[in-house]
Amino acid sequence: MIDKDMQDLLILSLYGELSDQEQKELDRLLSEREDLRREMALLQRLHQTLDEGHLRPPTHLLWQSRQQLSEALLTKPPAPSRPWMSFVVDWLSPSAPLARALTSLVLVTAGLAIGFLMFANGDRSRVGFDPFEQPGVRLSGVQFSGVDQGTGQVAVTFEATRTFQFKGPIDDERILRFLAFTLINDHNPGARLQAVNTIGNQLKTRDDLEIQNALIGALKTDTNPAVRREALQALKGYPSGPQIKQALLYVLRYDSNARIRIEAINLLESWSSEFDQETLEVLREKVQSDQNDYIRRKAETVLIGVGKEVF
Amino acid sequence: MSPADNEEKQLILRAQKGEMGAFEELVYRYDREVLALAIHFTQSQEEAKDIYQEVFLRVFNALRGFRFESRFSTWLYRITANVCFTQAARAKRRNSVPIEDEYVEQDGRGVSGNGSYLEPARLDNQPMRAAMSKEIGERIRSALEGLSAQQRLVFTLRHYQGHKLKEIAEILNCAEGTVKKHLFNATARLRNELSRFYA
Repeated sequence: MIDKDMQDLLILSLYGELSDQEQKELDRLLSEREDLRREMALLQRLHQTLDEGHLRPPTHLLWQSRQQLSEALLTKPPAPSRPWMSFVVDWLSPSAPLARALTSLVLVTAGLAIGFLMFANGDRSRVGFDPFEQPGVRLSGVQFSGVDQGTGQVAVTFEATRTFQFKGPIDDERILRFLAFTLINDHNPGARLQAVNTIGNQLKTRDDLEIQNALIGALKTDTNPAVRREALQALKGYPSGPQIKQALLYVLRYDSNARIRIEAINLLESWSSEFDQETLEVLREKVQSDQNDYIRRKAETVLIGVGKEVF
Repeated sequence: MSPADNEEKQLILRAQKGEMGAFEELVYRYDREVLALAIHFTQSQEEAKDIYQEVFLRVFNALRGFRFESRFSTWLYRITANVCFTQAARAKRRNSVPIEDEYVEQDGRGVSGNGSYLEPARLDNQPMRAAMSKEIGERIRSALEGLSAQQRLVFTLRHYQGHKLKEIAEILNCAEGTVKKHLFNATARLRNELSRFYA
């Protein structure tokens, strides 16, 4: 009877997933044990049988799919892509480990966006009705669409914009919503940076979930490293929690900026009493593969500090 | 960075700026593989087509947020995996038409409803062989359908598409050990289901 571990090794060997050393050791065992050779032969035949199920997409299906995609892109152009949209797309799935935690962020962000748009739309409709009745409205992009020869009506299109100002304490609900919205949605990295700095420097209480989620979103998805770094700084004021821990692990794994990864591992270290298996695995990965010397050494130190094996 | 990687990066950057031609070129580099994965995963042409559309529309919407922190192919396959899982969850709630119902059998080859071939990789025209292949193909389809969505996707990515386990772990954003576990469980299950064909 062949034990399960040995069977697993045989499967990995068939897929060429063993290291040279492991493969050598397995070859040695295979040369010594008849039962292993029989098992290997069975697995090889299973593989050959499964190869019968290999399907190639037919050309017409590929062609139809391409055609439909082109039509979809032409007739129904998707909304302009935004960093936070990709974040939603990538993570809003049952397969993603963070999906449940981040679903709340998506819902909050969507709610915030809808609320803001409803507010903005309300004003825009009034402007559309008679922009000259609105104080401080600026018109731009004026286009004459032509004259209807039948009725003699003239059509013009234009954009009407108006400046708003919110003033209030930092914990005012409208100010908080505005900051969260700006941090996640504004195209201008300067505006996002100002939003995150205002949150980090001015907000004394750290109990607003919308802000926390916006900071996590910015930390993970903002294209600007300064914004990501400031978001991480601002998150330091929050008590440890699974969402923030997951965001730190994400940064540690995927952020290309070593400085941000260093800050993430430093913050993670301060929560060492709450390390779970996933955190330990990420730290072990870092010991072995991070390109930055400091992070490799730091990950090792943290693991030793909590009495865990480094490898 | 290899010249090919650099070329792809330039292509992505152009697509991110809204150049449709670049986006199309990017799609055509990978769409055959995405469609193949979808076919293996769903065993249905119609569902595979739906997955294709959804994947590349998501890619189009999210491309500007792609920050080159992983390979583009990894990112694309991650989106594909997510769409596949969503599709699997939907399929649970309704009856899907299996791939075999989309064909009529002619001369030992699988033929789709509109007359085009869906080619099992090793089918040939000999009647006995074709009959056997059909039976094996059906049994494999049924065995694959018996796997969980995760097991099926891991198995398809490894066995039929040749991705390394490490890449699959990146695609699914999970530990390599988890991927191995799915592969081992899938193999054990397929082994039981298909024993009469190879043992």
